[in-house]
Amino acid sequence: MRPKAAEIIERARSEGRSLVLEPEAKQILQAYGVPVTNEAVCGSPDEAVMVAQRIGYPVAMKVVSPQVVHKTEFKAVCLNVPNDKDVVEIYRSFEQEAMRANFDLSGVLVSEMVTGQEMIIGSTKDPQFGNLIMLGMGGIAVQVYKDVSYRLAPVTELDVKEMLSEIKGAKLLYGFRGRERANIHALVRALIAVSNMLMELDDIVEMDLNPIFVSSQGVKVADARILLS
Amino acid sequence: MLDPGIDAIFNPKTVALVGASGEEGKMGYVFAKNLTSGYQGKVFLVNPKGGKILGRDAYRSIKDVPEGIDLAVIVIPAKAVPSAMKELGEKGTKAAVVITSGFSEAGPEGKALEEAMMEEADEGHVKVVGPNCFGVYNCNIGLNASMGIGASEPGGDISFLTQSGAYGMAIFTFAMDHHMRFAKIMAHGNKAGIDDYEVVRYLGQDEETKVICLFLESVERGREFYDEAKEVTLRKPIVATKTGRTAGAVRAAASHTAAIAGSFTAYEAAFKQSGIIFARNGMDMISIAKGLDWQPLPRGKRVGIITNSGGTGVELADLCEENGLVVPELSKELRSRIGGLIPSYASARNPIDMTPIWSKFVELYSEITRILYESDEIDVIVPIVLQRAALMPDVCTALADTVNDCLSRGLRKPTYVCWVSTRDGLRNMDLLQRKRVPCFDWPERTARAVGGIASYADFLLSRGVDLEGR
Repeated sequence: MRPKAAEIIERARSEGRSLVLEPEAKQILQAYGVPVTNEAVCGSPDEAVMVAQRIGYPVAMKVVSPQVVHKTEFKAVCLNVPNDKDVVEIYRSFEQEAMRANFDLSGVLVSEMVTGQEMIIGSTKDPQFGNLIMLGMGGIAVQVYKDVSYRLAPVTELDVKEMLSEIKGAKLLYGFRGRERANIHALVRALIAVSNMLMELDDIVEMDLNPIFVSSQGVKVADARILLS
Repeated sequence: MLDPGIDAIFNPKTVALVGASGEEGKMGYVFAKNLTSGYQGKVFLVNPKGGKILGRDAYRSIKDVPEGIDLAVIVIPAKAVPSAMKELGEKGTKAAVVITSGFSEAGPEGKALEEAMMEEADEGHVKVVGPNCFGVYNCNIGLNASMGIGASEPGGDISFLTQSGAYGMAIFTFAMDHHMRFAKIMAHGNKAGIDDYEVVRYLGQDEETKVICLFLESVERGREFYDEAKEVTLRKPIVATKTGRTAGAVRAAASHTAAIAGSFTAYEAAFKQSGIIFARNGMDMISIAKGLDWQPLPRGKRVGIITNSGGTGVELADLCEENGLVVPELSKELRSRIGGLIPSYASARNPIDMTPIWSKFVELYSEITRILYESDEIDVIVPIVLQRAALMPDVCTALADTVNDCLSRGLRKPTYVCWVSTRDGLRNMDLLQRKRVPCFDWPERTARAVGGIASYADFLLSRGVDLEGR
């Protein structure tokens, strides 16, 4: 097990949490070679402004809280934040939302904005077959279209290619109607890296990486949620 | 190496029936009858009353059986099974098929009995099939250690593992009606002492088995099953039907992935990834097994449809495409070759519609089939033998002979007939199937079977498996 991943899982356990927070989840992913957005957790509006300037505008801002599993259900995400003034305002609004909805605000995640096709990589544990890995079209519509494909981990390059052939929306990755062609190799590598991670980290029972952005540049995980057993 | 326990189940030299009876209507009678008709090995009938059963000496106890026992078949009441198992173990019995019900399927008391039985079996190194099962067959040695009707004729190479006894046997007898021949059949019931993957491994190694059929309600030790199947499918096909649901916990799903993934999802993934052909029901399983057993594997997904009914041809073309197949338009050259045979108002585009030109059916079905064999534009030939064509024995005989002639010329390409006939025509189906040209009923079943077979061939090709000779 990679030391960083072990440390994070240990910390969650010692705090009695089965939910791994988004920034933690991204650190685990990074430890296994899965590319994630450039970001930092900030404890104050000033710090948020500093980080935003370093990353470069516009940025995304998100609530970090052990009680918030689905961020879209609260006012907990703000995208395309354009300047210092707005960063401070949004920081304050998150604090108010935490008071209103009664959750602990552990910090605010400031991260780069990424573009590309939104996809999802997920996993669950099946009692008979073990880690089941999912790839599909991501974003909030994933439960509506269910345009996804499953395989057992570990997956091979051929498995991933066959998964892509089962996903209708995957056509969008191959330069559909003049769009730029996405870096499929990067996606394949990311899925194999996730699959290796699942095989090594037996504690992970559920995982959603949604969305991940796939573009000609490569792959970046923009949001991540990991549940431990 | 073949597992010696499972091999003793399928290839016993001596069989003891524990609970044999001379009384008609009793289970012990059915088994005594089945075991003593056709099986060449030695059969010992055990009944505490002794005397004669079916003209043979009955032994009062397991101990009294004068030779070592390879396979014991147990039909005595559940309560008496653990102690019988102890005696069998002490005698060095290799395997036992426990037919008796009233074990874990019947509540906590039965579960305790099953555990007691398994403790004795493990202690005595007896490999156990069942309990609560239908029995086993090895058709190639005439062994029918089941409550079912007779085994299929020797020479079969389809083997069948079924969790459901009666439905499994219904599938098996239906298949025999369609001239399919089996090698080994096992109904494993509660699966107390045998796991699915062990049987898959055995049948995978078994030289007499060319096609493996699985009818499963659940898979225990799923991971081992998956790993084993993945190895086996590279050498021989596995067709599986899965009914019912997993015992998996219904969880409060906190993630999208868990919310979308139903319990069957893992099975589907495991089947796909290991190259198992998933059949939606028992009938589809048999269709697919028949196609795999009798015809070479297709080298691609391009289907050529030959029909005398435009409507049926179009329906089949739709269903083929929905099942992952392709129905390509034929080249100009091929169209003109076929066009020379059929009326000017008929279509050679694919589906090739000869129209209801009855007087020429015998010639056209055969000749167009031959042309498609010789063409490299088509990987799979599906003649629709419909209505009046199905009532003409000469059409069926000529078609079967053409297919076999082309195959013997080394043209490795499968033909599957889509059969659409009245009841009167059914006997003509035999003319094709006796010559190993499989017939599937109506377009939907045909398309599903062909789609399943073609997806398996595609699985092998994309993994670099050489289809030479397959």
